[in-house]
Amino acid sequence: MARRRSNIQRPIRNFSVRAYLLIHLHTFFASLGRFARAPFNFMMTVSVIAITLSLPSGLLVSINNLQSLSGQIDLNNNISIFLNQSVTLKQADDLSASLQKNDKIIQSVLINKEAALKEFRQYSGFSSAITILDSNPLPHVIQITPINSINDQASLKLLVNELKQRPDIQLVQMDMGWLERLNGILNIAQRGVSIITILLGFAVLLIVSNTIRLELQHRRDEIDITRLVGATHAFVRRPFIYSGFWYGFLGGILACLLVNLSVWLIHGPTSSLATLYSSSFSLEFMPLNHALSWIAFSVFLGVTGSWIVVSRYLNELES
Amino acid sequence: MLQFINVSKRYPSGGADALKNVNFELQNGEMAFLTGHSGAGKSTLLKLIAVLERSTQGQVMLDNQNIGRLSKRNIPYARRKIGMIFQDHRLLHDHTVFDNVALPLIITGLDRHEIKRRVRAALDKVGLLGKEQRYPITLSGGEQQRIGIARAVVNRPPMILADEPTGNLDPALSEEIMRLFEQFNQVGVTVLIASHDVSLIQRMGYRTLQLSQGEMLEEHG
Repeated sequence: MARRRSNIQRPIRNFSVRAYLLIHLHTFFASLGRFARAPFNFMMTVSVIAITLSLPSGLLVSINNLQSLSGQIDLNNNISIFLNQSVTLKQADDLSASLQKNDKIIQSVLINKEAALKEFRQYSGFSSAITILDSNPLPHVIQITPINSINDQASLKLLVNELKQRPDIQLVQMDMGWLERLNGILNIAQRGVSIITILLGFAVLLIVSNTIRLELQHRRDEIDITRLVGATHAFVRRPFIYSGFWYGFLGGILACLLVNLSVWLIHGPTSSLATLYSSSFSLEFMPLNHALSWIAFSVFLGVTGSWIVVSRYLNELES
Repeated sequence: MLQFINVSKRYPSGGADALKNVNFELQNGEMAFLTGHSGAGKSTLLKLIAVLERSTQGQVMLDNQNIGRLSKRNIPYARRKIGMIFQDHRLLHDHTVFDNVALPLIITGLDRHEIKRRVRAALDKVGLLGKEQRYPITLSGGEQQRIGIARAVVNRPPMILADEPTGNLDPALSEEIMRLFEQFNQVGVTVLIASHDVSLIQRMGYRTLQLSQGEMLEEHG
């Protein structure tokens, strides 16, 4: 049988956008008012959300910092060639000059072992120890910059192998090797953070759901009475959605504060450590756009969590 | 206004039918009592009208609309046509008298000034003007029932349902409350009151629907 909708009185006639917005505004602040009456419970939930979210966001900040640290290192793909101790400066110079002629090599620079020792003495902090040595333990080093260094790994390997076979060369070291490994590790860590974010995102969803569920039980009578006088699901749901919003919003902000507080706490020690390595590296705080994304994510979880629970609850009530 | 056609209700938990093949009709502007022992099905019948339950069989027609078949979306709008009153008042005890009475208007998104005007009018009708800012718990049982009545009539529904509205009140107060319903009926509101206060019902002299073990026994009045 066809449903007769014609005589259902929808409140369209009395409806005004202004009144609708006023309801929203009223509910918005009413939900805050409820928190003000039970601030301890409220802050407990917000703190749990904040701590849960500060783990993935903190890890992300750490990874970003490590990436910027590796980014500070000169990214040209240099190869260091350590010559045998017996090689004289003249021979080394000749070798460097011949390498310069190789069309696979853009630049070849000879690092004189006397100059290297002097520099080492200056910067390493081992000057007194070096003075004790009878002879210079450092070999001559030729530093070459290959062409197409990053794109053409195969020809790069070929060049390295070629050099390794020369009797006067002791060691050929690609400077980029460890950096690539570090970046590889950081990529894995980033993937790991994504997984942790998803898992802990679910945790926040459950925390909010559970809190809202308790609130629903607590205000059961109020909900029943409101439904009895003809409130729509949207009307009943609204204050709980705002509760979810506040949990998410304040939880997200607190999470960002916690992460930045942690960065601030280890900022000093890191800077002094970096100075010891004569690096200008300093820890970066969470960028503003990241912070905003985390807060948005947290709000999304809060609103979604309460939406799911309240909708389920209302659907069970209405047969 | 209200029509039950072969209505049966069986609760999913099993047991006997709460209502068995009930037929009756209330005309627009009519006032009637619904009586019977506890467990006779009075509350079930009222719940079907307020769409708090749905019938297992038959049709419940309100304003020529089969409310048993309303979609969940439309149920709230059907409820706004009915003012419901309960024995236990069902008031919000952490809200003022004003907020309690205003609730049916707030959910419709009515303008604040209009809400204020109508709430005061409703409170005036039940004799509680001046107690808007009190909390229900500070008022007597009879006054609390009046708050419930004011809430039921504040959005001027065409029909009032009352479930044992005088159950906890002494005879004098009960009669006062009943006269109040009478006044609403006189301005055209359809009124159905479930009660087991037989002597009061007889004194009032309105049509009486009697339920016994889920069956509509007789209509007299």
